[in-house]
Amino acid sequence: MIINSLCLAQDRLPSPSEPSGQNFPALKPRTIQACLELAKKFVTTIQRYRSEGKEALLAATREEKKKNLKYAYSLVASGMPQENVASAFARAGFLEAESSKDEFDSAMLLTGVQLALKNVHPIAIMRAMTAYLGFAVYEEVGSWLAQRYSSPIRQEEELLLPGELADAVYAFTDDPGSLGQAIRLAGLPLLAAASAGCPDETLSIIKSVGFNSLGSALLDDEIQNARSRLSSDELSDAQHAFLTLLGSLKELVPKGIVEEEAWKRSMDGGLVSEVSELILNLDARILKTVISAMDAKLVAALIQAMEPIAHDRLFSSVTSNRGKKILDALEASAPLSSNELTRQAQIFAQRVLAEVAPRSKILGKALPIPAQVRQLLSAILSRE
Amino acid sequence: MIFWNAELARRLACSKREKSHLGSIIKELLEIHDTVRTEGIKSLTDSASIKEKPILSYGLRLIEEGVSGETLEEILAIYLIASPWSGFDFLLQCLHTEALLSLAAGDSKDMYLRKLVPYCGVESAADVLGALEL
Repeated sequence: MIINSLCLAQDRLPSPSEPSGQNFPALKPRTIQACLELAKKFVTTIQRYRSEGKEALLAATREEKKKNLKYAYSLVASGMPQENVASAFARAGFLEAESSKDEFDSAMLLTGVQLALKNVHPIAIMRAMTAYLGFAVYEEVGSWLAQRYSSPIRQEEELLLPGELADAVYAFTDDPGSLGQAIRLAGLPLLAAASAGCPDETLSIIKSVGFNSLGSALLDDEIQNARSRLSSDELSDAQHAFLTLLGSLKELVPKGIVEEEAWKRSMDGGLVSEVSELILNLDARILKTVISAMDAKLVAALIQAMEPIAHDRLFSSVTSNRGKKILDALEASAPLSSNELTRQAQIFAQRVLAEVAPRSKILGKALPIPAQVRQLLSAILSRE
Repeated sequence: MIFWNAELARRLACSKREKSHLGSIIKELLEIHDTVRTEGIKSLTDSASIKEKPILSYGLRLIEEGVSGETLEEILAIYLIASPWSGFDFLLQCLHTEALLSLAAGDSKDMYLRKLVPYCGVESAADVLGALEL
């Protein structure tokens, strides 16, 4: 409830000038500009800290002459828990300032340090610090932020992860209300992680529904952050989570997409990994012989239990005509259950064994295949 | 738990007659919820009626800037505390802020209403809720 936040915010501000508590000391335009410059300086340093690392912050701390700003930088550099910042400011004497200007400076810096320690984006930190100066500076702050952030941050190539999120987002283009609702429910960290593996076109739809130019810049920044911090699997999980959220909001997401995602989640990860490893590690001649002799429908079923990287090797082992037949069979096939996939994988493993086994059996002699392939065959065949 | 302090209570104080307007204001805010749910937040930011409501107008722009959750609440609380509003005007801006935070959180219409109605006061909250119940 906002009332609680009001109580907390009130503790940071200079005392009201009237007993009614209605008016805080009015700041002169020159003082407002000075406070604004302080916020700009702090936020610029925090941005450098985010992009260049702690050394940039430590250098700013060393060079800063203004005591309260120097102290604020040192608190951010210390990485202390943000709930201890207020008492640290009080202990250092910055909350007992001589003028209202100093009191506002301290309140702004206290807020800025707390948010920086929570790793809040500098755009939001700037908005929070300058909120003490009222709506009168809102546009000026917006222009300053736009100059610094609205130019496209995203210059790297798009990262495309397989999944249905792009199609689902496209299906929401005529329903900005629901897409916007999903964006807000997801929150920025999940949205950024989910968008990190999407085509630029999908990202444009998301931005057009939920963000203005500054928000778009902030989202780009968070996406870059997610790409550098999270693995492909984590980004893929975020896509699934956002897709599920979209699906829960409206039936607009094609039913097939939702079912396919549910099927993917129910897959036996161990089996998929074993089959993929087997395909990747099999001798090229054996793989070609076995796949060529198998029915296209059986190969299509096997592909369902494989990671994309194994698809490439499998298709590279067959002729283009044969590859086309397998693709047609794949398109016509329905998702198989975990048990059915295990059965198909075992049939494939048996065919591989039959191919590598010597024509004349010599008892007690190991099969002429690498140990890893032997282990994978054994793991697949021993599944129940 | 709801925090309380005397300064804030003084600043929020207003007459019963003034508070009686809150029911119709909440009704307007429900229409805003409907618009956001069907057309999205961006459809509101340029609307003339929103521009007359400062905290709603600036708050919507903050949401479009990607500010959300606790940070949005903290920023709006600072604006309110540092503002010159008092009495019914202050209560009204607090109500608008509560609506904004609920919109930003993606709350359902029912939850949104239940977050706004307490601003009418204990005596009339139930009546207002009854009149506006979905």
